Amino acid sequence: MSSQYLTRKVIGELLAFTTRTLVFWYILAVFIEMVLPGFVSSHLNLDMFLWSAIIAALFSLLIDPSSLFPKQSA
Amino acid sequence: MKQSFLRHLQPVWIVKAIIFCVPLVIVAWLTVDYLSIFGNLSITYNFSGESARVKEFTPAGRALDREQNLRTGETYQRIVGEPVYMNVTVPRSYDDVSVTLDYQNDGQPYTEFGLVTSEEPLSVRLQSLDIGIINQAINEGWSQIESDGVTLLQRQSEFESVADFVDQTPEDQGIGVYRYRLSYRYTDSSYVASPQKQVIDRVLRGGHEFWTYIDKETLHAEFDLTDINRDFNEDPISIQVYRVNTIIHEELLPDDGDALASAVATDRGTLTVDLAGLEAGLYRIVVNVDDDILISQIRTDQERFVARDKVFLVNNSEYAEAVAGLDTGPTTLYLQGTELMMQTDHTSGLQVPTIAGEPLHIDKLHVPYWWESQDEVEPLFRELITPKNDLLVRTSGLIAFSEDAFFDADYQIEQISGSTALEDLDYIIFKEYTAPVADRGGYLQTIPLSLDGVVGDRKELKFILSAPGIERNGHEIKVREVKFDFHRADLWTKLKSRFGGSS
Repeated sequence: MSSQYLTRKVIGELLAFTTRTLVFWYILAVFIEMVLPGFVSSHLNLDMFLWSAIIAALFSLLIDPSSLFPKQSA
Repeated sequence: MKQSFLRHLQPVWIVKAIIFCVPLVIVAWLTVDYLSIFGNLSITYNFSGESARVKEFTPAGRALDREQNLRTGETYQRIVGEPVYMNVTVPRSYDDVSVTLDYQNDGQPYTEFGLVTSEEPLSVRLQSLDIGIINQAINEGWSQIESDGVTLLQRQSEFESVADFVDQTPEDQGIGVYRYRLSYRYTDSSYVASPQKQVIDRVLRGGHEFWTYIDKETLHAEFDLTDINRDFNEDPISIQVYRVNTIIHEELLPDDGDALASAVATDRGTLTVDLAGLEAGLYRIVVNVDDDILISQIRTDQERFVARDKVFLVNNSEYAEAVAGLDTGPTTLYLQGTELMMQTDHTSGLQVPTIAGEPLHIDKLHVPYWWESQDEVEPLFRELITPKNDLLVRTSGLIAFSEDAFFDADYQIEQISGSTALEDLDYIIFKEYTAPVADRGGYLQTIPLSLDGVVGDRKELKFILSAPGIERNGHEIKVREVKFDFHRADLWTKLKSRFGGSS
């Protein structure tokens, strides 16, 4: 396995992880915002989470699509 | 190959942990802010978009839509009518707030900013934002003396201290006052005390301030009081008599024992002020009560007896159950002020009052209606006729219940307003005002406001910007940013005060 392949794998995995983390925090932030209005949105733009997740997902797909949608082992 | 992959595993997990923890740190910071652990909350609104905590100025028409300067990117909202309101939601209740406004002022001479402390009945707490005539005097280099929070500006430096000026107020020169009482020097050598009693049989709601003039007579006034118990609170009563700024007498009455909103009216009897041997001059009688207390009748031996700044008229069918035999006929008031605000909170109070013959249609509840004099020469007073009462009437000046009772205690003194001209004045004495600081082609002004006494849980706050005459004179105020700094005791102090006693 070449080092270039490994680098792609690692970066792809990190981007995929970032995507999942951002989606998780976005959903959590939306939920918190419903219960406690202004908790997040008074300081941060909620859409920023979502757009960052979309951008991370796009880069992840470009670099290593398999990291975002890993094959299920039998 | 497997070994090579494992070599990368450790740093990958570290990076993953960092990626996951960054939002965690942000959430921790938001929690500290939301819970006000350190007792502070800062909110800044720059009109660039919608905010969960701060709404832009309303209503539409008086406040224009948010705008953006495409060249500089600066966002702002223009105020072209008044009053305008800004709603702010905070997660906790706070003790006080400092509001810093970043604005540009296109010639509006008199602007105040404050807080709506009660919607029904309307009660506002205003502080000075931008008083053009004071700024102008300072810019023209008038001499300035300050003492105990009172500032004296002099065109020619005649007095060495504020106390000297107050003791020897010149009677032949123009004096402007702002948020300072100087009228106690009023004397009238032509006045002869009348043996006739004066009965004010209009029912008034809440706290009022009365001014009276006595000379070689006893200061005597009887206040009949009723507690209507419409709000959840205790309603103690205090009547204070002031000479200059000193309390010379106080009458107290505790609550009737009904702190619930039972709406059961209780007759609280009569509180009497009876003071003999006083020196001739002006006296202030301040009735300190909340809006559950009605002053059902006032009987006084004084011929000259007027209310100051506010009258809350009750004589309306809305209060018929609370006051037996209530006269719901129209009321005539004699007002000195050049600006007037009226509001009703009940359908039965919708009406068309007339001010100097000019009708003013009050056709919505909880909405303040404003009237402003258009006269070149101001008369001594104007007649205000309220056909149905149930009106909160606010003005700046004296209000008499009969023509004979009116007297112009401010005859040598001009209460500073938007129409005051600097060339008419030689002195300005004021409190609670600091000129705004010039900044980026505009001004910065910080206004401290106590949240004490605000009705409700103090989490939904309504701020008010008042700029009398702004619409008529075609002025505008461009607000670029509003910053709210809320304060309360920090969590540690609160915990100590809660559990400290038991340890």
